[in-house]
Amino acid sequence: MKNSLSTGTILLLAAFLCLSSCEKMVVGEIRDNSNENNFQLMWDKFDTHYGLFLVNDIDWNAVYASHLPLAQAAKNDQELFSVLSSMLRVLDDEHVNLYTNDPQLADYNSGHNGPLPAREDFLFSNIRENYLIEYQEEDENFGYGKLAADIGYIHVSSQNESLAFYKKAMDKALNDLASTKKIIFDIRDHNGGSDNVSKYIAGRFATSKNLFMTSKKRNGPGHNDFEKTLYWYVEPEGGSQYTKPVILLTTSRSISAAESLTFAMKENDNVIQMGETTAGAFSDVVAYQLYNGWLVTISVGDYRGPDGESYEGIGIAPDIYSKNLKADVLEGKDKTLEMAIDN
Amino acid sequence: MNHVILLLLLFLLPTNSVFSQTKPLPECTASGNMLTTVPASQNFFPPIFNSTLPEVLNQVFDSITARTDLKGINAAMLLPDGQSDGYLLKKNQFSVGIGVGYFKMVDFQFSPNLYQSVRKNLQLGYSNRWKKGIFSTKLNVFFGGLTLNSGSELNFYLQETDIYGVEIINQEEIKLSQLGLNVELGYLHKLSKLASSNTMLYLGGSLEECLIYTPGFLSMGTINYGSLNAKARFDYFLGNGKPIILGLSFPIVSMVTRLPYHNAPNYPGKSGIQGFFTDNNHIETLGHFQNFRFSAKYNWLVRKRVALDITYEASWMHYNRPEHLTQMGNQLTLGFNF
Repeated sequence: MKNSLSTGTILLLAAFLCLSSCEKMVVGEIRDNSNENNFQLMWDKFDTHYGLFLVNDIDWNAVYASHLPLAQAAKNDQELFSVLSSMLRVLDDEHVNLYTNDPQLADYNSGHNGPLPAREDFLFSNIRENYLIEYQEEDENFGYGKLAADIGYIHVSSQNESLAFYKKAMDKALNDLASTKKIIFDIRDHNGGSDNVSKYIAGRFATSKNLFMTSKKRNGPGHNDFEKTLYWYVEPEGGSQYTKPVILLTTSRSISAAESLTFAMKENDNVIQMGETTAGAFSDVVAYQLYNGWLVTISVGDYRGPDGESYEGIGIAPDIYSKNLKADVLEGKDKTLEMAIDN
Repeated sequence: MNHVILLLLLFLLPTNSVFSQTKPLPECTASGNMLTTVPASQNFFPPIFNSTLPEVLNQVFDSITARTDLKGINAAMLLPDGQSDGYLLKKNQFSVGIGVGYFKMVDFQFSPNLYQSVRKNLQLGYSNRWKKGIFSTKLNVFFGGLTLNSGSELNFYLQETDIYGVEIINQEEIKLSQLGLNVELGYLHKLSKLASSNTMLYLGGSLEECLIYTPGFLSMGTINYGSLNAKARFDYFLGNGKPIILGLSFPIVSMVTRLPYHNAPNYPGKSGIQGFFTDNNHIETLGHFQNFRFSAKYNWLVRKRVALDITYEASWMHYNRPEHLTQMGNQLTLGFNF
């Protein structure tokens, strides 16, 4: 019996040890975490996945040639961070970020050429404290209320919950605000989320079906390799639509899905956009990790407005321009909101 | 981590001998498929003190099953039509198992770095033994954290400046976890002509559906596949009458779904899960999708209607579209059969 058990034990151990020792063979060789390899990997990943080379007429090969010697000469993380940041600066894309695992280096945003700057033209707390007479918060990123008895207010700062959440939230908001004469829809600190949520929310204010955006994404290594173009339409959604005037408030920090929402909302006849031009970063972004553990985010799509034009790096200009001054904001005032109330 | 599992394995395997009956049963005579009971002189209540817990359990089970007409594995050895059916406790058998596994993975769609995961799994199974084969179905649910193999944490730092000009460095930790669901329906046909006094071979196949999902910013390792698998099973009976059941499985043809090339499925009017499966399903043969699994199972502590088993499974999966995903692992599952 002992012999038999030994046989079984040996069989199991042999299988286990075989699988363990073969790890390198099956998982593959991991390249060195050198500065040059990290540079090469990041350049390759953008080369094969970034969606806006042609739109923005970027010579990525020239970027490689000019930065490779710098990467090879980089002696530490700080210098590598400088080289990679310099590469990404060429893209001038607010969706492109480099995140490090070093608190001294922190992060880099291509569009801002550094970390995100302070938002000085908007504080939601000012509106809560000084303007709203009632407010219902569905979550920290979605709420609605009234600025006056007949002026509704909806605030959305991201669209990262499920579509079902927004269906329910919009039902509640529009039921509550049905008797108002207009709604001010505030997305001035909206940092993105789902385009399908944009389509749905805008549909709650729609009376007809209109194209608001097209999108296509990289599907191969060539800069012109894209999958088929998708057409995004806004059309009446939900049980009822709010067709009275809507003023959509935007700033330069309204980005990504906030901009697809702006596209969609502006296709509705009852909506005007007030505030600042949006950020100009529409594409979906994906994250990729380098050998050293740092993350980069890459815009993989080419998104266009309903007119077929790209607004990447440009943004959507408002119908009525208004920008809050920092001094006013610090005093608790929101002049743009006041303009929208009086409009 | 490998060492931990190795130690666990080394600890568990010798316990088989502890759990095994250390003395052969008193001889029984077979009459047809009925076995005589053990002699009246058999001590049904053996001393349980001065014994290890496994020994006590074994003795208790022995004392119970000795009153029946079939005494577990050892009695099964006396079946006149051969040895290889008896350890299957009855025609219909259900099983519940819990296990732990250690997996390594690299997914070039998200990272060139090696990740590791300790998975916990729950298995529910049912098998139906026919005269010429075994029908079985299994549901396996698993989950586990996913961390860098290097041990580094996924901490990132974001600099923010508030309206007053105060700079803040925020630490953001990305915690990854994998969830998985696996359903399998299979049949193994007994090749009686190839059986020997201590071996039995089965060949067959299975239909399998598996979804592995990593929610969050880095959805590495996310894959869905439905496979038609080829399966083989080899039973080797040890001297104590208990079989080691070796299994081998690999897919012949599969429908495989991974995130698309750009990693961002986003379609008008479609949910994320609908987008994942849109224009993104590929029929693959072994050349592009490999999923080899080897298992070794050992039953012990068996009585007429209840058995425990331990299963070791090694697996290796690879898919090359749109970029290479490779995953390998070892898993131990403790099963309760009834």
